[in-house]
Amino acid sequence: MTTGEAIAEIRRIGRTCRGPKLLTAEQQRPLLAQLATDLPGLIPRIASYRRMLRLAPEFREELAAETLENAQAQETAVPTIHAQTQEVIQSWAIRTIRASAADQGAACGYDFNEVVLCYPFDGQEREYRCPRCGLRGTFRSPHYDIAG
Amino acid sequence: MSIVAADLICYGSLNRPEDDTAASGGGIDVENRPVFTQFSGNARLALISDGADTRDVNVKGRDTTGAKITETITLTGAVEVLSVATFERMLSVQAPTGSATRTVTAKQGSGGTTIGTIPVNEKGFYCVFIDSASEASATSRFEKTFWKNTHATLTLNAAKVRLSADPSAKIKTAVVAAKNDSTSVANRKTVPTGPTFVDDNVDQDVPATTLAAGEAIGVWWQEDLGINDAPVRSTFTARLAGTTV
Repeated sequence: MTTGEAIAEIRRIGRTCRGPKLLTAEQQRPLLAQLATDLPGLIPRIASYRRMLRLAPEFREELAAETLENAQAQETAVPTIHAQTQEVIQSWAIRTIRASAADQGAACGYDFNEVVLCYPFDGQEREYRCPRCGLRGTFRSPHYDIAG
Repeated sequence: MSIVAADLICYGSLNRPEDDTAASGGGIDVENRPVFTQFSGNARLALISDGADTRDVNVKGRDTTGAKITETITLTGAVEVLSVATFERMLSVQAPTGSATRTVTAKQGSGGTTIGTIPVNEKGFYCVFIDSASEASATSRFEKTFWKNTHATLTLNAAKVRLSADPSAKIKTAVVAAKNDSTSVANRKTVPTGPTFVDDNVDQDVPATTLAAGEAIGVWWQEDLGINDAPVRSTFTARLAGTTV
């Protein structure tokens, strides 16, 4: 079989990403509670320090030096805090998806064959992330003996 | 009359291994379905036909110690008959021949919940990946089933196959590229050539997105067990969907 023939055979079957699964309100409740625990005021804290640093100089002078230094230190740390926040939210979202057994999907529709064609046709297991919706999963590449 | 769900039937393949050496896959076996509801607890199996019927039905399952056991139950027509053994789970229920007139119902215990039926002209039902234990390294095994459109005249359009539930997250599925195929693999640890196995995040079209009256499409199943994985007693659910006039 040639590479072209293999690609044609892969494309003979349309494959589409179903997107993240949807949860019922009942399923969401414990996950939202967990999210509240995982994000103890991170976002409000960033906002508060940023507001302080945006104050006009005359008002900033009124702040205790220690407070201002603290705010500047936090501003420096903002990218890190943002990264932590993003990580927590991503992990929460993944748990949300994994916890769902619902036969529903927030229709993504991405052509999954595009993902399949990114890898060798060696029959091996792969991890992937949908380029459109970010859903992570695994699949096994097709195995073909390619001539030439 | 439009295609209804009962017209879209999941059948087994002719090669149904219960070890890692026999061939797996092959053509469609329209006398056996890989579909039933597993026992919810230890019970005897009750069988009842819907009329005169004295076939010997071979039953395979695991007893309460986990040992694989078999028993032959002789049907007593429309009177319920119970297995002698108590089963922790069923593995297969097989009549030696199909009946042109009789349907057999299998229940969990006397008068209990129906776990499956043997329809007219069919022989039985079974579960897939029997005796597929985990090993010192991660293990994947492959077995095959079919979806068949048994409607007399109508084509199922926009036909899609989906792994709709996989609570143990051990299963992937692959639609084959040609309808009515009969490909096998040497044994169930051999990766089939061609299919792309996806998890329940991906929908797969039937080739050309149609399944004409009488056509069948093969679907391979991949079971993944981790290193020295804990025992799995689970099910998975698949569906074929489409449109009809």
